[in-house]
This record gives sequence, structure tokens and C-alpha cells, in this order.
Amino acid sequence: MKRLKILIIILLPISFVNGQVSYSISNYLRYGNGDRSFGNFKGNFKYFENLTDMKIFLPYNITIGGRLLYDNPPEVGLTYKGLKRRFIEYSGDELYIRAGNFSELYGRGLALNLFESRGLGFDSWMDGINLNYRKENFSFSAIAGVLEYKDSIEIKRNEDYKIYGGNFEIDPIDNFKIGLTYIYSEADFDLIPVDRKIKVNLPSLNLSINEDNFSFLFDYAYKSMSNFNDNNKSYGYGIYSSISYNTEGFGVTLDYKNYRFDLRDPFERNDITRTTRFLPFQNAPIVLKEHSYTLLTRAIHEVDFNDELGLQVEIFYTPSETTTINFNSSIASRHGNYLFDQNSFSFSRLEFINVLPSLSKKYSPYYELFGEVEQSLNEKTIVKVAAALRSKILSDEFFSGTNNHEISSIIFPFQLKHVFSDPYSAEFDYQYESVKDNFNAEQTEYSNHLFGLINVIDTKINVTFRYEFSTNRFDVSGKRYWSAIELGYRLNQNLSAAVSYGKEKGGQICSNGVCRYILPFEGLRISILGII
Amino acid sequence: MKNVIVIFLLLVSISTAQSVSELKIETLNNKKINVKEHYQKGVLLINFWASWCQPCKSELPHLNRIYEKYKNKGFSIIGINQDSPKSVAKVRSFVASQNIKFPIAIDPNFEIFNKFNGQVLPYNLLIDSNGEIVYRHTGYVPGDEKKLEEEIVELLNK
Repeated sequence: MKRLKILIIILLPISFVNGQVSYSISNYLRYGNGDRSFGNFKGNFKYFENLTDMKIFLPYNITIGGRLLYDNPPEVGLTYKGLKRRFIEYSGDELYIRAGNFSELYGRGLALNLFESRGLGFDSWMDGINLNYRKENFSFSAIAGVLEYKDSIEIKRNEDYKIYGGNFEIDPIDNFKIGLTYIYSEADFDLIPVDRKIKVNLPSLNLSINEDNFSFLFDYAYKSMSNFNDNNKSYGYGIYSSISYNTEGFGVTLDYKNYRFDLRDPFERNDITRTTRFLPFQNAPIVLKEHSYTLLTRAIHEVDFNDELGLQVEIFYTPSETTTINFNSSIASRHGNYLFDQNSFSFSRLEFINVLPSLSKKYSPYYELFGEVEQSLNEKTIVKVAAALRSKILSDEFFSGTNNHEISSIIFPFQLKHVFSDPYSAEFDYQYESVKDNFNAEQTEYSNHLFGLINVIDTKINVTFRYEFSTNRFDVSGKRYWSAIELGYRLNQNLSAAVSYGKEKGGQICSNGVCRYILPFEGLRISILGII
Repeated sequence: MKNVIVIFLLLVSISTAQSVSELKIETLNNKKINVKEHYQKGVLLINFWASWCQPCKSELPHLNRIYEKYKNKGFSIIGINQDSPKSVAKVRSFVASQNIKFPIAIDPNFEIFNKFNGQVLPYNLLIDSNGEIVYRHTGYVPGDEKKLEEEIVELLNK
């Protein structure tokens, strides 16, 4: 703090004379007061979050910044009150240095991807030094610092990492890039009854080719971990690759994952305190579609980065100025299946697949088919129709697959947007989902229906109604009907506010011109966003 | 904590609005863009968007139209995609299919977005010929594109 003050005292008079200081501030306040319920449990829940991000741009390309956070408690995550982030950085033509908190991404994130998602209560930003040096055909980056990781759901996961690493990328020829990454980490897992200390080595290689119509990417990371306490060792690796062909009006991308950072039997797999798994500073591509329809953002497949194979194809096609078509298909499964020996109370691995995912039930497969057509009927009316088919099987390896959890669903979203007379417009949404779930108590089939109406009265005011019902008598919320109203108001270009009241089932919703993921909640919510 | 707030307020009191003079961006086509070269021609719009963001996708065709209309009058757009590594592989395909004419860059770890204190998408910054941000806008609802076009025309006519 003292050093920061000294720096500011030195720079301030110079900047003042030259008028070269500029700033940027954003403030995001969110408040909620209501109830949350899970089955028969229902409890009052209030949240209050105020996040202020500020940056001061000083002369000589120096920026200082910080985040004041008042999460008491937040809607998702852990309570925090105080200065959450602070940094000072120099950003020149070729050199970038930052001291303080930072995020970083090497390749596609198999070895290092530090990021924050407040909606998930996840934060893997580091505190330390980040240096980048770029020339025309190569770049170098180095990081050193600490990551204090606290899992907001699995509260046993309280882990401190010291991380050192670097990345070197070079373009030896036009449109071709090769990159090498090396990460070394020592970690302290604060577990009861004993702490565990580990060290991890994570080298990684990535290649990319970017021609006009064609692009290819390959990323490989190898992880070796050893335990200081008992010298146990663990090895694993991950591969991600994508290939795409794009031309005017058409684009197709195929991507592939083979994540086997920590293949474990079902006993060990469910041990959330194990030190051998994929680490919080690694975050690889999911190779699944990220949807924007509310019903498709619920009950999504949870990717297991320790043990998963997968493929995805996505096609975008615009046959005419008024029509857009999108198709996506993805498939994922585990690498192996296990046999449980009831006498020794242990698992042995039976079969194993190395390269491509399988739809066989014993590999816990997941697949999704999705298609969407958007059609402009005229200058004022747009219709969107989509269909999705999903299936997820969780293999029961304790009883040789006789008690698998099987869930499948068919979802039909429909959207109609119409501009009545400038500036009044309306959007009507209907989403239907038919679900089969053999673990859903005594009702294995049910349907969900969501209706939404967004009225934009002018660009400053909009009102959204949402109504949803389910025929599921055993929904985890204990409810069958949900309805909410939301009013969005933009005071000016810098300030907007939204107030909602009612019952929300959760998922990604779009209103007031933005989309966000919300959790189930019943009551009043207020959000105010200001940026200057 | 109090010290931090005092220092910050002191700095803000002598500051001007944020400028973007030194920002350099690499596009999907591996071209390096210096934003200075774009805003010095007249007016630059920086549009942050993501492929999972429905309002962003609704706004893009309007931005494409505005770009085509004013690009010869000193107006530029740089789109900065905010898809994370989760889904960034598809961005090229999406951009190609939409016939987007202005340059698109990717920002998968939100480095540029954070630089401008972005909180929600879409997020638009309109930059004048001095490199100063004169207009910030979050979210998109039908009709916003008309307001934006008015701002652009006003700045181009200055």
C-alpha cells in the first residue's frame, strides 16, 4: 500500500499538469429478499452484492485498478467484504507487466485458464506477477504467484496454490502458430484430519493453423502430480482439437475432447477431496453447446474433465438474407466401465475406450441434437423455431448397470418478435419440454412449459412476464407453478435498473436487453448497473 | 480500505473520461489492429458480444448494416467476441455465416472486456476521433440501433 501511495504521489503532479489521467468505474448492485426452497425445506434468503470495479489510467501506459466487493452474502458463492482485487500494470507496444491480481489463458486452457464466473461462484484469479512480451512473430509470457481457491459448494475444498509458469508462442510461417507451456505448482489442501501437500508439473503443447476459410487447433497437456506426504504419484493428460471450414454464409466446426487427467473408479471419483484431480487453474473447453433458451440451460451435462471423451459438430448456414439455420450435435462418454466386487468391496476396470466416445450405457453416455431456424417474415417480424433431443445415462457400476439413471428430453422452443410501431416492440416465447426420468419418484414422465412476454415500451422501459408450469409432482423445489414480472428501466446511457418480483425456477433468462443465469428464488430482486 | 477510497476519489477528481489510445487487438484473421488508426478516421464503435448471448446476436445484423452505410464516411466497428474457451472454436463459423463485414477479435479470458469494466453483454463503446469514449451502452432491445445510429451521425458531423 505504501509503495502504491508513493507511486501515485510521484505520478499525480505530472499527470495533473498534462491532463493525462483518465478513469473508468462500474458499479453493479444486486439485492434479493425472498425464499429459497428445496423439497420440503423452505427458508428466507436475502442477498446483497455490490461490486465496484475501478481503473485509473495514468501517463506512460500505467494503469492502477481494483475491485471493492461487498458480498454479504452473495446470491451464489461466499461472503466477502473488502478490496477483492488490486493491481498496477504497464502496457506498452511490446511489453506488458502486471503486479497484483490477474487472469490468464494459455492455449485452450488445458494447462492454465484463470477466470471468474460470479454466476457459478467460481474465481481462480491469481495474485502475483504476470509478464508478456510480444514481437511480430513470437510472444512470451510468464506468471508467478498464488491462488487461494475456496469452493463455494464443496466447502471442504480449501486449497492454496503457488503457481509458476510460462508460455512461448511462435509463428514460424504465415498462418501457423506453435506454442509451448509449462506450469509448476505446489499446493496445500487444507483437509481434516490432515493437510495434504502436492506438487504438479503440467507441460502443454498447442498448434494452430488459420487460413482464410480453414482453421485447425490442437492442444495437449500432460499432468504429473506427486504427494509430499506419502510420495504417491498420479499421471494424466488431456487433448482438445478443433477444425473448421468457413465460407460466406456457411460455417462448420468439429471439435474433439479426450480428457483423462485422473481416471478413477466410482469410489475414488466421488471423493471430492482427492488431490489427483483436474485442478482449479485448469479449465478446458466443454465441447458442448452453450444454449440461450431457458429450458435448455437447465439439467445440463456436467463435464468430468478427469475422465471424458467427446465430439461436437456445429453448423451455421444463412441461405438467404432472411433465413438463418443452426445445427449442433454433441456426444460424450467416460473412458471405461467398472465391475464391483461385493466381497472385497472394490472395483476393477472391465473395458476401456481410448479415442472416440461411446453410446453404450456402460460408459455413461450423453448426447444432444439441436436444430434452429430463424426466419424474418418481413422487416418487422422474426420467428424462431428450434428443437432439441437430449439423453443422459449415469451408469450404475455398483450393480452392474441394473439400476442406471436414465434421463431423456425433447425440447421445442418458439420465439416471435414483432416491432409494432417504433419504438414499441414485443417478444413472445414458448418453450416446451417433455422429460423421461426413471429416478423421478413415482412419476417417470412429465412436461415443462415456459411462457415469456417481453414488451419494449421504448428503448428506456421494458416489462417482462414469465409464467411456467410443470406436470412434475416431485420437482425438487416442491412447486408446480412459477410466475414473475420484471421491469427494466434505463435512466441514461450510464445507468440501468431492473426490479423483479415472483417465483423463478432458474436457468438463463434474457430481459432488459441482457441475458444472465439465475437460481431458483421467490421474492423481490433489484439490480442496478452503472458504468462511467 | 479508507486509504484506497480516498486515493481513488482524488484521482477521479482530476481525471477525464477513459481513452483507448494504446489498445491493440488481433482479429480472427490474424491481423493486428491498432484502434488508434480506426478512431482517427472519424468514429469507432467497439462491440462486445458472445455467441450464447441472444440480444448480442439480434444486434449484430443492425451493426453490420450501420457499418456498411457509414464505413466510407470515417466510421469503423471492431467486434470483440467474449466466448470463453468453452465455445470459442465456433466463433469463426458463426461470423462467416452471418456475413459480418467488420473485423472481429476474440477475447476468451475477458482481458479487453475487463479493461473497460464490462459487466454484461452486449456492451458498446463509441469512440470519437480523439480516442475518448463518448457513449457506453449495455444490453440491446429493438430500437437501440436507431439511437446508436443517431449518435454516430452526430459524431461524424462534428
